[in-house]
Amino acid sequence: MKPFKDLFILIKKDILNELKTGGALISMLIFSLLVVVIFSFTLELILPKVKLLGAVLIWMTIIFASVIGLNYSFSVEKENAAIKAVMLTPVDRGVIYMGKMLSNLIFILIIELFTVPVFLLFSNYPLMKVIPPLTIILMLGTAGISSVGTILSAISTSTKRRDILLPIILFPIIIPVLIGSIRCTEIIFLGRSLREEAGNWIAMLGAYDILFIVVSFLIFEFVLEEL
Amino acid sequence: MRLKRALMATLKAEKIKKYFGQRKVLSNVNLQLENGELYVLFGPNGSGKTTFTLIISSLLKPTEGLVTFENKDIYKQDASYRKKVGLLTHSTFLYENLTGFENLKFYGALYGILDIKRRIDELSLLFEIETRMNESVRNFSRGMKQRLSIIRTLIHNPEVILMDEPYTGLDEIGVQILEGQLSNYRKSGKVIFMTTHNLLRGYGIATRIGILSRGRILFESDKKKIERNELNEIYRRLIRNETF
Repeated sequence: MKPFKDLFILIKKDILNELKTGGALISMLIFSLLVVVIFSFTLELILPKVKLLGAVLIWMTIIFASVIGLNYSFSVEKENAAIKAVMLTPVDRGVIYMGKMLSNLIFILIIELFTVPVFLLFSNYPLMKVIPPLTIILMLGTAGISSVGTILSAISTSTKRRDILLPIILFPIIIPVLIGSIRCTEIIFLGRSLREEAGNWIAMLGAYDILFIVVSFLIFEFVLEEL
Repeated sequence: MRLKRALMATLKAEKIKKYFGQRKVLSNVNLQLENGELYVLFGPNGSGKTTFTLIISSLLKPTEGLVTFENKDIYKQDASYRKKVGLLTHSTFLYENLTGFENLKFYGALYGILDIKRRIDELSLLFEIETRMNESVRNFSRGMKQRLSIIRTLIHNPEVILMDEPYTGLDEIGVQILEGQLSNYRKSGKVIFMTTHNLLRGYGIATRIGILSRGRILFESDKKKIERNELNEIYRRLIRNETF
């Protein structure tokens, strides 16, 4: 039970810290809403089949907004070297990773909670039909971004150019998640069945999430030593 | 005497070497700490005091050498050693956006302290910051942050207390409270290790002293065997010889 208790304490601290400053969440939210609104209006003017681009647009918005939050997530730990004190507590180092990963997941999902319905409304998608299957894909894709993004954020946070380094190392690794998520979202937006047409993609997304969560959990101890 | 100390030692560092890249920071450092002892390590800036403190805390691994606590390698003990260590460094280890209370509650919870609020009340009263506990740490002065950081170090009542330059930012009252508390902890049998370049303060509180320069312990003695002026003289001589 202790790991779960520790996990809860770590996530609670991250949420409390975010509530006090709103640093990452507000920036992510403003950015993603602006992108969605601007693209929804402008693309419709120049592209008659804008709906075909919807899946790409929504995932590009999510990934760029995520980078803002991921960059922030370890900078708060580096300030006053607070992460060192956390490392000195009897908490398992893998649990520290899980806590950070789940906090990032929660923050990105909160952004999606606002951004995705706005995008769907502006683009005239049938909300009730699209939202249930899209929720599954959003969860799988966001878990992938968060699992890889958290460990890469920890690695890049000690470097001088961390703001630019994170996207440079994150984007190539995240390509399978992006392709899988965009493909599944496209199928949903075209009104087709996920079960019939996206089974392999969903399995790939699930496998990617599990693989990166397990690997990151195991190697996080070594990453922490360099922080 | 040395053999007796080695047999009784609770925390033992043997042949510690540490390199950062090509730069040698610690060179064959040996140290044995017993229960009920307050060891003060003096040294000029850049002598390796902080690096050595981090190594015996388990936060930093030595390039070569072994650190044991109760005859077990501290890096193989995992959480059991970390649970017994309290570490204070130049960095406060505090979350600036949280209040003093929230910081301590967070760390206390990670150490599994049952009655956290009572423990926080007790220590904040002792270090006279009880009226500031609900303020954001960002608004604290350096001295107040240091007091809060000392409480964070002691929150879980550690058996091994490691303090790197604990006087930083503390006013006279803060220093007196800290020294009184460390003295009580020493009498209760805890292992206390402290680094400072303040000879006057360090000598006053120590039971054993050492001088570290350029990554080597050049001098070590029981406090009883050395006068303050003598220590001052030895320190100056050793540091001068090492520098020039």
